[in-house]
Amino acid sequence: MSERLQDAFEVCIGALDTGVDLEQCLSLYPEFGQELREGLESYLLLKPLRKQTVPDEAQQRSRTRMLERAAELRKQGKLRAVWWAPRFAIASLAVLLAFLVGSTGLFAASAQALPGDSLYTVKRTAENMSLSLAPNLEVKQSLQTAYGKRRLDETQSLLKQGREEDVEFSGVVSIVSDEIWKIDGLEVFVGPDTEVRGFIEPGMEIEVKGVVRPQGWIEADSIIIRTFRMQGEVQSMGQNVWIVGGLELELNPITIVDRSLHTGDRALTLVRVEEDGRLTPMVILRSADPNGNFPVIPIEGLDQSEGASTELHTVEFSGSLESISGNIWFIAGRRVIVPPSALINGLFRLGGQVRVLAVMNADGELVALEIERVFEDMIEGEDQADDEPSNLDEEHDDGGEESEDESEKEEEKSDDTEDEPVEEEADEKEEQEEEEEQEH
Amino acid sequence: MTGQDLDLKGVRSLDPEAISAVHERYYAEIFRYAYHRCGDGTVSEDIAGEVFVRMLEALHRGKGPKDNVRGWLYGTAANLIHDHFRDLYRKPVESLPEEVRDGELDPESYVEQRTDIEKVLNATHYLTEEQQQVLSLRFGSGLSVEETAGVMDKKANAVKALQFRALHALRRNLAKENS
Repeated sequence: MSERLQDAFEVCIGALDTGVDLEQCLSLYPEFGQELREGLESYLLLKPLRKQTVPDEAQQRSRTRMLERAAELRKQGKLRAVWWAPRFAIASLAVLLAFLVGSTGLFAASAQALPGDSLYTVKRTAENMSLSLAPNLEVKQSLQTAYGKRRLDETQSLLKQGREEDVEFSGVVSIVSDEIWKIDGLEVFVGPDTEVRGFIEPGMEIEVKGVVRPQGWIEADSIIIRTFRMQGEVQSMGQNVWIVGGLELELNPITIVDRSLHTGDRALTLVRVEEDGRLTPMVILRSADPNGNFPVIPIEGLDQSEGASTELHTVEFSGSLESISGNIWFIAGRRVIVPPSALINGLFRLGGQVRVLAVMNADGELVALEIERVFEDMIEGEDQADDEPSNLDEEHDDGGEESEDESEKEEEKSDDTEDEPVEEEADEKEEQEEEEEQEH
Repeated sequence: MTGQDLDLKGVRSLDPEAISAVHERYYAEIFRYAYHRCGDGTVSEDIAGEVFVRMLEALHRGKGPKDNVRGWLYGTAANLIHDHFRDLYRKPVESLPEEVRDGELDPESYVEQRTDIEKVLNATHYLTEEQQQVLSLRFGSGLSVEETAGVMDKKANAVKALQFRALHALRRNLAKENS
């Protein structure tokens, strides 16, 4: 077969593709006659297998799949890094932990330490060790919640003692104003030098780093968002990674997800910003409210038999905190599961009034999203507050003096551990963790 | 084009931008190649998607293409197509495509179109692997003689001769089938 025949063939298939007739092509190269004809006819026979256009949707689906797989691999890489941390280092930590707890009781002594105290570093080291040795995500998040509450308590103690120390704590912001913000009942001065990262609105959980002043206030150096609500379209639903409103969200075992959602639906999410900047969704629900509020259904109006439905319902109610057993709380006669992801706002005591925002899962169980303490004067005006939820913060503010009294009462009772079941629970969990480590 | 300008290091470290760039560059031609070999849009989408995920996983493990990205992608696609036909012979499945289910294409036209495709596909299955490969690269993906030579690791002249032999063999096979 000559090279000239091959070149003629290349020219002819180019001509055929632009619509030139086969006979016209052949007339250009009469010297190759039948051989060129057979080649070109075979070429034309293959036409049904030629796909001119590739569907855009197919390409989009493939790209999404590839990016989701990349996100999964990134996650696996991080987990592997933790699991393959030198066994020696973990063993050494466990031995050190056992030594410190068992022989000197140094950690126990450090439990009451406040920022600036000599034993405070020991306290924080013990916490970090417990966190790094947590056997699973659930325990780790329980500990993080308990330690978060400790930071708030420490800040309150420093304020009471009139000391000047560096502090860091997280809390739910209820008032955002030009200068004074209210975060979990604490007044925080936010000046022009304060670094505020993100657009912060009331209801978000934020992390504050700053200084407690002897005059009785806190000056913030930096404020960053810890959790936020976001509404957006569900763009993709991978096994472990969803994309909602353009944000890549890595689901974890404790994420509450409305499984009836489909791609293209609008969803409302509660997202936590991790230390490394990753976004962990705590809740992903179908969004019906254009203002981005969780779809609240009064519990009285909800037929419990609907629990078997695949859609999730959100319920809100107030009542007395009757008992706490592990992560099961009884509030106003109702059993509520309190996962580590729930936002716990305020100090609690048995018999105290709380307001619960919960989701009813497919089994008809109530799983708490948020629990906050309700002050007695708020209950009297509860009808008002129910009608206008946005006034809730003002109610907090109006009741400011009373609430300070309440916290003082609680401080007085703080020696009596029965009055602080939440703290007790957390400490018990931590002690259990430490004991387990000793056994290992 | 061997893809040397692509950021394979970025893909290896799972950088979304680098991953999207590789996907954007090669997806369409891999899809067309798969379609030319199997004649089914849904299967082609599955195969093309799998090829890119496998490349990502291989690169992440420190393996995968070193410089000839295109060659690696076509090699993987060819393996997946073999797997597909092996499974198909074991348990043939006949399903209507989306266009027919959605009413965009009437069943009669579909059957006519399908008959043509099946006839040519059957004839190509009697070609050697190299012959099938060269026809799909040249006339399915639309690669030039030089690009095909790069993927198949052959000289341009060898590719020209191979494709010509493949076309003549195809014609003979079709004639046998018709008789």
